[in-house]
Amino acid sequence: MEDVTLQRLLTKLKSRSHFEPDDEAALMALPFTLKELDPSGYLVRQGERAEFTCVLLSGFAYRQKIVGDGGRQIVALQVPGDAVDLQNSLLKIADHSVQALSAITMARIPRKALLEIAATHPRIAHAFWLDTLVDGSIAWEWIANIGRRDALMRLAHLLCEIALRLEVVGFHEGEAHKLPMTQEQMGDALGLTTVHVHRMIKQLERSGLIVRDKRTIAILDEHRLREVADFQRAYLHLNLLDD
Amino acid sequence: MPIFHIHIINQHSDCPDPEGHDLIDLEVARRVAIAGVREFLAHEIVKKGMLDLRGRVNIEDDEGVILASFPFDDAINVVGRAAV
Repeated sequence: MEDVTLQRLLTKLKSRSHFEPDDEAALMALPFTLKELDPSGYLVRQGERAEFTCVLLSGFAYRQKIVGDGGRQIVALQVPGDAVDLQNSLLKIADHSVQALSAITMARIPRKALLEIAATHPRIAHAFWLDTLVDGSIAWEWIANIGRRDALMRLAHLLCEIALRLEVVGFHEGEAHKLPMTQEQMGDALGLTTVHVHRMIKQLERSGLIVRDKRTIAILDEHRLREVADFQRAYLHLNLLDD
Repeated sequence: MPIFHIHIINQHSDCPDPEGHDLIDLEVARRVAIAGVREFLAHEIVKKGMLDLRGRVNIEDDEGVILASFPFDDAINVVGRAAV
C-alpha cells in the first residue's frame, strides 16, 4: 500500500503549528486501522455516533448535505492529510455525511486516542484546534464563492483552492493541479447545474487556463486562473508559522 | 444506466459534452438539459443584462445519434413582454 503512516496528517498540521520531536513521535504513534473505499463509499454517515476520526491518506472525499427535495450540496472537499471528521471527536454525532470522491485509503483513529493525545500534548491540541478553525474559514469562503461570485469565478476558485491545498500536503505541482471530479460533483459543490458547469469548463479551456482529460482537470496557467477566480489565499491561513 | 450527451450549440461557442451524463432515460436527460439552459441564461441576464436565445441543445446517445433537439427558447416561457 502506498502510504500507511500518518505522515500526511503530520505534514499538514506542521504547516501551521510548531511541533517538538515528542509531539511528532506521539502523533505518528497514534493507533489506527486502515480502510479502503471505492468512489462514493461513505467515510462518515450523517446521524452516526463517531467512534473514529478518519484521516485521508490517499484520494479525495467530500462533505455533503442532502436537502428536502433530494438535492445534494457538497459543502467541502477533503484532500490527503485531512482529518475529515475531527470535529466529531467532540461533537459525537455526525451532522453531515462524508463520501469518497475517488478510490481512497483512510486511517481510522479511535476517538479516545485522539482525545488523549490532545490532553497530553498541548501543541497537538493547538494544531487540532487550528485545523478546525481553518475548516471554518474555508467554509466561509465557500459561502462567499457560491453566494456572490459568478459561475466562471466559482469554478476557477474551486480549482485554485484544491491545487494549493494539495501542494501544502506535499503533492508535486503536476499532481497538485489535477482534480478528478465529474461535472455533477462540481455542480453540486458550486451550486450549478452540470450543463452550466460544463459550459464554464469549456470557457476556461478556450482561454488556455485549464485542460480537461475525461474526468480530470489540469491547470495550465495558475496565475491567470487566480485572477479570473478573485483568489486570495489568506483564508487558507498558510503562513501562521511566519510570526 | 445509459449515457446522454447534452451538447450546447450557439453561434458564439459550441459546447460539446464528451463526458456525458449517466441518466435513467431521455425524459430525465431533457429535464437536465432544460434546467441547465435556464440556469446559464439566468446567469447571463444577471451578468450582462441580455437574454440571448440564439442557440439550441442536442441530446445524443453514446453512439452520437441525436435523440432530441430543441432551441433555447423552448426552455423558458416569456410573459408580459413589452409591445414594440
